[in-house]
Amino acid sequence: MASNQRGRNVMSNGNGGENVASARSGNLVLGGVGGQGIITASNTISYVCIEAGLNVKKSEVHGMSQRGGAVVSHLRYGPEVHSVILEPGQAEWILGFEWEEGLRYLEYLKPGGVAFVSTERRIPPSAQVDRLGGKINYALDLVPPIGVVPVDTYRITGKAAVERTASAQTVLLGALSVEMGLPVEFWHKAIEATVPPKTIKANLLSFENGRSWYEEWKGSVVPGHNTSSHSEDFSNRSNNQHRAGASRLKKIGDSSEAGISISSWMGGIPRVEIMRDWCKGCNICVSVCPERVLSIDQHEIAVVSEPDRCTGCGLCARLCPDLAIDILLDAAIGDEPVPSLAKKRGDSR
Amino acid sequence: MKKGIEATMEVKPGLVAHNGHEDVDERHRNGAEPAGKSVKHGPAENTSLYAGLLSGNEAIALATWHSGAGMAVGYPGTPSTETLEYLAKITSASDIYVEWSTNEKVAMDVAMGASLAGDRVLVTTKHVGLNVAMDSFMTSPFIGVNGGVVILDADDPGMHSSQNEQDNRYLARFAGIPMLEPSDSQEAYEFTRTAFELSEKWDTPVMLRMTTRVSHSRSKVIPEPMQSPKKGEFHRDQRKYVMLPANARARHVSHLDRLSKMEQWAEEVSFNSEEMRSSLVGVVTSGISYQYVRDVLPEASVFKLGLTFPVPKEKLRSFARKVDRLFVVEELEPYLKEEMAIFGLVAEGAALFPRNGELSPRLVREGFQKAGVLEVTKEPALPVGTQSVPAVGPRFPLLCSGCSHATPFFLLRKFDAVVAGDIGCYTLGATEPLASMDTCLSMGSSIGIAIGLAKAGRTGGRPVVAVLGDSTFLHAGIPPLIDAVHREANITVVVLDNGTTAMTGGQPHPATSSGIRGQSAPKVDIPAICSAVGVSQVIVVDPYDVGATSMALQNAISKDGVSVVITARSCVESPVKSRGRIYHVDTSQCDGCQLCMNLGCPALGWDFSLDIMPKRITIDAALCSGCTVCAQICPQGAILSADSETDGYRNSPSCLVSINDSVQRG
Repeated sequence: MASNQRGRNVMSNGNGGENVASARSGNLVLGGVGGQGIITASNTISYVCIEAGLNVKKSEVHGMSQRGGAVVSHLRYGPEVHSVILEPGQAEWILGFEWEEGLRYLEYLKPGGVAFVSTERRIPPSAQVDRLGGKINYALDLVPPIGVVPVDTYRITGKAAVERTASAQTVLLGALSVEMGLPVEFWHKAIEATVPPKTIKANLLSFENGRSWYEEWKGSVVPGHNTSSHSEDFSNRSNNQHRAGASRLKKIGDSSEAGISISSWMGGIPRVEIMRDWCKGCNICVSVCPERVLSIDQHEIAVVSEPDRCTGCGLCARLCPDLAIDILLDAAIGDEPVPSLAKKRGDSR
Repeated sequence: MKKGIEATMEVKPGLVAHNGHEDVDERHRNGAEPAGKSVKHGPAENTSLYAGLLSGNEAIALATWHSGAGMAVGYPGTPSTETLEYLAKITSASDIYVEWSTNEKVAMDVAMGASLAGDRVLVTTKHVGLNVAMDSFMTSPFIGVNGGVVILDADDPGMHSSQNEQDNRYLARFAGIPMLEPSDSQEAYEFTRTAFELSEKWDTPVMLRMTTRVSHSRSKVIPEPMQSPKKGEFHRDQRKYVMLPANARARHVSHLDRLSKMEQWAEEVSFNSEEMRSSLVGVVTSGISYQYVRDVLPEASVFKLGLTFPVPKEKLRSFARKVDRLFVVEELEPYLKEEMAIFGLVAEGAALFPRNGELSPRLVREGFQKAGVLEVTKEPALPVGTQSVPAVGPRFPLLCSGCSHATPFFLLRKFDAVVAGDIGCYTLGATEPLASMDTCLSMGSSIGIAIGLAKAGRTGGRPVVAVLGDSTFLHAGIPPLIDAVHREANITVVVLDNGTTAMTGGQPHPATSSGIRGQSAPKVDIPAICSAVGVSQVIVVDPYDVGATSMALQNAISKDGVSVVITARSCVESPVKSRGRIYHVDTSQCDGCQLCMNLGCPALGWDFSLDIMPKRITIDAALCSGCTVCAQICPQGAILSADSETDGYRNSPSCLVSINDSVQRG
């Protein structure tokens, strides 16, 4: 990017154009979900750089992020550091503590850079809102883009994923330490100084596991591996390495990629029928409907105001004290109602 | 806490200034640790107290202590909060009085009082917090100081956690007080120490203006020797301290006189620096923008302003003469550009850099590309291959699993109330799936807005409810509650009392029984306050009991006049992380009705191991706090704890029935 043909009034660009990371300077982006230890990990890396006699600056965003939202920290080190936040395309390394949160910041990756992304997936509730079709708004696909190294942190450190042990994520630091090239003793010292005292042992173990896993993995791709010229191999290799994980995830992905129509799993399109003469406007059905399909009209009678949202759960019909509600199934094509809802739902269990 | 401090000492004794070092060690050895160590009313242990890498806020706290200040007060607000927490952590009660105030105005007044008694004082606030303190803030330079007063004002460009992004540099100019703007943690340290001296030199409070990026970035800080605390004494001086019109007129004259002297002095200060490099481009900048300019245009000449009010006219004029093109790079409003325009110095910049949002190296680069200073790069911004990255969906902040605020919002949506909301974690009640908040304006505004809505009376027959947290209620909710009682407004006020200031990380407030150091403190009684101002119906209810909460809300809403419902249940994360029995879903019972998903609990999600529709629910055991709310509302009784199966006990949908009972009564 640094230009040699500067015009009279045109200046050269600042850093960020250099493609080669030296051991003495570097830029990182750490992404994850609040509570995963992103800030602690960035502290550990900072400590290592300070041990190496380098200047460090890092950013943190608190506030709304600590309530389960996305957390990101930029970290820069070198003999002299000015801006604390990076421009896209400046990071040598990305650490993703959660699958999608790692992919989110890929635009910051330099060509030839490496993104270590944990395969831990935390699908946010906001991605699970298509109750009729079951579609998930989440990048489930484990075929990694170029430059991404998927890291099955829990498997590598021998922990069960359901336990969500934060120390498992230190595997990412182990892998990173191989690329950053600063002395490994600095890392040990940094981990001891920055993680909660009770977890030092577990974190050191994860670190070593991550380090040896990545060394082995890297060596098995191409001897004397260079990430920038073999990024194709990177993605292929990672697929093989993670075949088991990938197939498991893929299965989930299959049912959710496009979503499916409600009639295909219900056997028809559910329709709420309210017998107006029997309804006394008690509001029970309105208050229990999970999809907020019903409302009370100006005559104090329940009406179906959002028919398209009905999932046919039948809660309103079961709780109606006046037996005024029926759920019918309309055939998807054709007009003959199929009044066998309860049985259908029983079958689908 | 102890561990963290000691680790620091071993790593780099330099963190704590030279004569303060032994004191701290001594204190920890003597076990004079603040009481209530198990209670996390303060920063988490082992955060990043190491190796002198401090955040901007921590640097200010350290400098405040090293300046010999006797007091530091404020109200929590992102991004200023960590300053007092860190100060309380590195000092003991005998070193310095550190405490949260009920609101920013109280803090400002307490600070002025302590200053007149001779203490150096730090006041911390976020940008909108200074609006609350504005009344005292504007007149404070008239009264002046005895001990130095430094106001840490932390602006939030980009609104990471704020309701607006006002640029408070205008407020320093408005009040006519000196303003310093650090650009990293080392400067935050140095400028704080200078600010105390300036405050005493000019007999006025001084503003230390920070932004999120400076407050929340960490970089190396090399401290200076500690100054021993300076203790003055209060001396009566009515002409200076009593702002009767006759006195205030004279003080205004002195204030204006000081302003013109400060303008002269601004020419000589050492924290404005001219960095001459290429003469093609000159950039006037300050704060974090300076760092961006240095990265993007390493060859450009830069005039870096450390003092942004008053600005040095002659210095800037002379800089302008030395460069071919003059630019101003600043975040948010064109403040510097306007200041320069006043004395006829026209700079480029306003059309090149955005006036809203947070500045970034990328935006600075794009601005200089637009100006023709930098070539437009032809390479794609994205590295090769990343175009194939699947679209990543948004990840919104959520109420925590087991949050005691979920139930009231879940129910308010059912009651179809018009809900005037407020500032806090519970503002997330506005987002799906709870989605039951209609307004949110400023701290404590909910009650006033509810009065207005109810008095105007055109809410389509929907009941009017104000919802605010406990800390917010004490901060600015009491005067409007008095108004509601006196004006007989037909509203229901819901105080979500979780016993902490949760949004900013769990700070104590007057209705908690501890102070910032964890020491015990008298507790203010919120129900008694409500009764005392004349609310006839005050109900305290446990929001983990869905049926009871539903009844309480229904009773309150159906009643004429002002009623208050206090949902009392301590925050699930603070002061202690509370975890009860973990619940799970019996998939043979769950019929996928999704009612529990309407709680918006992060522990609830679809069970992807079952390939059936509708999606059955599963509970993430690592996240479940055992609050039981989902189990109470499940119509199938499908949500169970490990114990409920061995006991042969299953939750019946009894709670739904009680919800319905209350609905029917209404």
